[in-house]
Amino acid sequence: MRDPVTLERGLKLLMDRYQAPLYQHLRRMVTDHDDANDLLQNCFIKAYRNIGQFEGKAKLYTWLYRIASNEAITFLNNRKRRAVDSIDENNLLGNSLKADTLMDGELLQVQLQQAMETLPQKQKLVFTLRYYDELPYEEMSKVLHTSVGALKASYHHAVKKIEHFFNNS
Amino acid sequence: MKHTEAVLKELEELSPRLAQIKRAETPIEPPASYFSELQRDVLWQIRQEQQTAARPAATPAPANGFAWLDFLRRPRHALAFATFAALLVAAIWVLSPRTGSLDNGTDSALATLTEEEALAYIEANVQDFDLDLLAQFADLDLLDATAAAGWSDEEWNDILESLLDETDIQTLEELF
Repeated sequence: MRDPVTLERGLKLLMDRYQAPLYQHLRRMVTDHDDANDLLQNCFIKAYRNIGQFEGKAKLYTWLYRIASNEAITFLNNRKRRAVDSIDENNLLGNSLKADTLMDGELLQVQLQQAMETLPQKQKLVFTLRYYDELPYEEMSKVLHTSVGALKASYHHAVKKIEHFFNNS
Repeated sequence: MKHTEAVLKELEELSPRLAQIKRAETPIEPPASYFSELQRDVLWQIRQEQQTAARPAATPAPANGFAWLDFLRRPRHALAFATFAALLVAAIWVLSPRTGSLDNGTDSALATLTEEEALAYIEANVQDFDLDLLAQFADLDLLDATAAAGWSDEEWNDILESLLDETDIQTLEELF
């Protein structure tokens, strides 16, 4: 597996299989396509570099989700640190997704994304992994190194906060 | 990988409205041909990294290397060095005993060579001078290439003349 040609072929297979769900995951987390693209590239490059360290104890997609989620959290922390004020940050998704005319369903999706922007980063990650990526709690536990119980509590809190956002908007 | 039914059932209990939104959910579409470009970009970056890693690190120039000769690329300095070389030629033939290394014709021709003629010749043929010999000369520590970069024409003339005075005949003969 150390042969670069073999590794590249393996990477292509990996990307064919997981690039679409990982893109969705990252796009939900960071909202902007270009940012999601950068993170996804980093994710696959890191996977390529560290494929030798993948022990096979976890599922491959769990491992990839862990890399992608770490990338997303690091990115969001940096973005926050760059002193983007909260109003701009919260409007980022609205600006990138809002169209002149939205169908009812699309409007709800935009509102949901705006509601997600109000969540703490870790909670947003938990919500994204469960709601959009539909990972079982056991897999989420391996991705985030958090207990299943804590993840369930975090997800429930996130759903309640989003419900509250809809009620007040 | 996905557990849609379990997620929806859980969501129905927590928030029927969110469950309804989820049923109408559509995936975010990336730009057309995005994924094929993504693969190309990722592989390109990986190959770049591998090429960079495979490239040997730049070796520093040896202490007595030829780097100091870079100053000759500046025409002003090249001309000054040529002047110095011309003075050396003249000095050799004035100061040294006849060694018979040259034939009589060349000997007499050089004896009649004026400084201006020697200067003109060296200026026109400065590229022909042997860099190895110049480097060997540099080993004598007579030139400080770092300082030389900032010398004016007048400083060059003074320094070259003093070098000529300090250089012994044997060294001059080795140079030419």
